Amino acid sequence: MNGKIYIKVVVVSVLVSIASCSLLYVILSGNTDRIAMVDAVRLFNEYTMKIELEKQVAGRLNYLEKQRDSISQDMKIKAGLLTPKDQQLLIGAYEQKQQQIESEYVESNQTINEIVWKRLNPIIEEFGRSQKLHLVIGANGMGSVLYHDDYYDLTDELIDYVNKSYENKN
Amino acid sequence: MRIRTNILLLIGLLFVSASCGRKSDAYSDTRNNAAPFRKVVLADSLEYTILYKPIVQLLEQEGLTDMSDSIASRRFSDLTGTAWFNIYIKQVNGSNSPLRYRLASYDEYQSRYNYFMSAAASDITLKYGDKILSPVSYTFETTYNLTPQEVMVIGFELPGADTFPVETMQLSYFDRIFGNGIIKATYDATALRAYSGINNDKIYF
Repeated sequence: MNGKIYIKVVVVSVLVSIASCSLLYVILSGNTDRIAMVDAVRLFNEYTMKIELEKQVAGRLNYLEKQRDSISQDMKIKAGLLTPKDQQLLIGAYEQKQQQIESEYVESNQTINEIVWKRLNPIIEEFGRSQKLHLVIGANGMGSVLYHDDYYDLTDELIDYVNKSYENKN
Repeated sequence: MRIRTNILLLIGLLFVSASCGRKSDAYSDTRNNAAPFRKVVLADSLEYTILYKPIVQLLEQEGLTDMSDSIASRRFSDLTGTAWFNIYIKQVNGSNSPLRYRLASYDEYQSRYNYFMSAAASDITLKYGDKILSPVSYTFETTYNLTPQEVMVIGFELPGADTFPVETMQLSYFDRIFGNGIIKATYDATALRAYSGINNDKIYF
């Protein structure tokens, strides 16, 4: 009779120990695995939509640069033939074109920045949920993340995830 | 021994019926505009649904299922070698047309309307294999705010002698009105073939 009780006590103790260990493992592993670090600059630069949008803008900027270069060429060819007034007109046209290129460049950069982050933010959130992450830290090279172990670096995984989501193959 | 044979027979029957059921479900999915033809992209409170419409579905919607009929066969031959898509745009949590989404003035509404009526087609392309195709047909079906959804209907002519899509297709729409960048939908060639309803240039409903 005592032997039976002893066996029961041993079995219950073993089960309780296993359950406690499992719980401890889940809690500890949960706490360590649920933080990720992502290189925000790489994520932005390697997002396919950003690359494609830049290509679109590059075509337009290239066209404007060619127009500016034509004016510049015109100024060189007609250097000694133009009246000071006409020369001034060409210089004005050149400066205007240069300003247009600069402002379109700044404006397009800003627009691409806005569009890309507008699209990236919900996908990053979706990625965080799918990976059961509590926190995703974006390192931007400005010193906000001073050190991180490679273990926490999910940059490659996130880049892959956002690009697959963008291609919309599912 | 006999019981074992019966059990094996039953398992076999269950397997066959499950496979058949799956096929018919998938086929009815096509009819209900579901996967693999319906792709959804969410961007900044707007939902873009891109729907590929196989020829078989177009003919069925037009009630042309009797291929011995001359009208049906002519329509089939007209549509052969083309690929058709709908792009639906709607607000996720709104009851207004997307044309009124974050609208600042009536002029802005007019400019959006004009863009969708006459200019949006130039922002849509189809990557077919390694070729980039431009639309051969474009229609904007506005509901004048009766429904919170607007539809663009786009048609492409397939290159070469392809009677229906045999290459992977990727539709791209550059949304310059709502500033959500490029919206894409990729359609796998194998899935398209399986649901095309066409085999050896014959159509199956």
